[in-house]
Amino acid sequence: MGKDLDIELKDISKIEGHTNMSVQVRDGKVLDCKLKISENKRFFTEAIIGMRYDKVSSLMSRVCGTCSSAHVLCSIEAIEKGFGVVPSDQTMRLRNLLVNANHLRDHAMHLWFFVLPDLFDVDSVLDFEKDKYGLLQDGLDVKSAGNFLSKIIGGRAVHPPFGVVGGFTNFPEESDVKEAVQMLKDSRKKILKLIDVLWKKRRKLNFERKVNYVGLMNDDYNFLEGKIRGSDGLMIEERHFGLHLSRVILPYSNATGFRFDGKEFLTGALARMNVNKDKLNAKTRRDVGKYLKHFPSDNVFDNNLAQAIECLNIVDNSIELLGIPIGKEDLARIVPRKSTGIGVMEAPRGTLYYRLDFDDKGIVTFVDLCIPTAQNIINIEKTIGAYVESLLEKGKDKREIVFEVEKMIRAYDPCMSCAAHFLKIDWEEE
Amino acid sequence: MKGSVFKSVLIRVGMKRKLRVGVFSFTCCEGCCISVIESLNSRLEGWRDVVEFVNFKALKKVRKIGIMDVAFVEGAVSTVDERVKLAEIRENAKVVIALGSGAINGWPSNLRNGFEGEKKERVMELVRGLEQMEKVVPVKEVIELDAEIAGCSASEEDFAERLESLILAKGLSLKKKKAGVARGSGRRKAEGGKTGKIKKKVVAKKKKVGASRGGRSRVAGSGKTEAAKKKSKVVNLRKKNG
Repeated sequence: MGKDLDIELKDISKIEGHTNMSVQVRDGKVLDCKLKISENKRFFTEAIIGMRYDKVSSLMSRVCGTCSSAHVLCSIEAIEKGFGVVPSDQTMRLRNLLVNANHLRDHAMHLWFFVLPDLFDVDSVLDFEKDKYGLLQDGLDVKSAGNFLSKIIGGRAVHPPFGVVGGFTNFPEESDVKEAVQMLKDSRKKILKLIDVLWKKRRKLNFERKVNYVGLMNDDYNFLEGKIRGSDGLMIEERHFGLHLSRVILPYSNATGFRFDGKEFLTGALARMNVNKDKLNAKTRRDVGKYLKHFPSDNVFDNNLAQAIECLNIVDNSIELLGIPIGKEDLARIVPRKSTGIGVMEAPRGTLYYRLDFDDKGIVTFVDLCIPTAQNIINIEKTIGAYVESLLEKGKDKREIVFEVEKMIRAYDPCMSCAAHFLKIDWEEE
Repeated sequence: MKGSVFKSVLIRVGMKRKLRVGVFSFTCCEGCCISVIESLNSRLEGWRDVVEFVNFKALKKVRKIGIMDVAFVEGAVSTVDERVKLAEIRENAKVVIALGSGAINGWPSNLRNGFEGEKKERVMELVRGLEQMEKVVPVKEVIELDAEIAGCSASEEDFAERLESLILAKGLSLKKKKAGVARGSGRRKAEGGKTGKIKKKVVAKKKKVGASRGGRSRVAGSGKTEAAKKKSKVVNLRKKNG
């Protein structure tokens, strides 16, 4: 006779946004596991219908403070693809730097502020004892580096205004670039130290469950361009990504879930690492070879290790990109036309998809978004359900299970702000 | 041994002398909250001994709302639950400061207030289904505010400046910043614009705005009873909504 158990986690902390989780166990089996995203809807996808193309990216940025650069860049890509605008090499370089900066700041916040307290059994980084001050300061410094890079390229760390349709409206000064390079160089050993900490704590955090991993694949592990690769062997063009997704209505949540080719899947740092680790920067590969051997991994806690390795890769890639001089450049010419534009890129938490339809004046007539966290919800629920069963088998009590479940949710690094703010649209309708 | 006991007592006494701070998110993108977290990058060292984050969901477990010297609130208000929570915050905080556009004027969460025709009908059906309010409102329509920090999102510098002035006003002192000089200068430059001059202008403008809103102490004193009144209003509203 197995155990009966009901777990309700309210207002889970140290994640982006608001969510609750409930797990129902009867006779040792998980009957039900629900991630109830409780963010209040803000109807962005409705708000941009009827809006001119040049207002879209700054509004979509406000979907989420922490992923703002991703929403800016993905909506810009959709607009430019729709109108047939080809951005310059420098624009693409600056966009890569902007998304790198966003990922670095965001990953660092998640790893040092949200994950480390779990690993050291404290509630908050603010509760660290003196012997951890140095480790915490490392995180603050790495965050600073991402933050600073975002400011010099995008104008700000949150809702960066300089990246627009057609290019950039402002360019960094040489002294700023130099300073950013120095901060990135200083970050290397701090990130390596963190990777080592995560590695040493990894043994305790092991729960394997195989799914299909889907992420962008390219030659230099960038977050903007490439082909969509599934670990099941599928390789498709970016613009076809949406065709493989099917929406799943979750009546108990303010967000929808997704399946890829009709099946549960995972997107995000772990998926990217699993499908594209061979294309990491040579310097990164040199320094983290020992950890890389463990990817592809089916352990979702390794998502954090993957994020940390990505931090190092961002540093190495960005230093190279900043080595090429940046000059002033005019925006590309934009001629609106009746069109459908699709933007696909890797946001910090996985593949972000924008489809925007325009009339001949460049007014938005239809919009559809697919947010990484929404793509992961079904996987989160199933994996947590299975994890709870395995913990029960090991004889863990309710208090321990609750903490473990929270840790696993944080390992996924979900972003509820992003996941909740869209109107439910039946995918088949379009 | 004795020494360490003495020290721990001292630390405990010292702990009481901290500025008690809460950071709360309502209907928004949580970008201001990111600014708060980013403001710690160069300042945590200086704030560690003088600031206690009583409630801050991004950093620690969610607990009952505690007594605070200051509460920062980001985001607009779109549900009755949020109204009730705001009233509770007002009741527990000497000073309440709105952080960023959402809290100050409702944008962009309030965009749906302006929807018309078929779009409005479609959205309002969901709004009612999700038990959100008919209109999204800024924080000042729910509780009295003591100050606002503008921006979308509010900047780290503006937040830090305000927090540090509150630290000093409580009679606490700030540790001098150590190291990171080169980085600090760069950060200021990037935030304030290209030159020091622009930065100065920004500061001057900010001070003016602060003065026109009136001193904190005045409002903080009178704010409490007002808040209590407002709270009862909110509670009534909750009853009405079942």
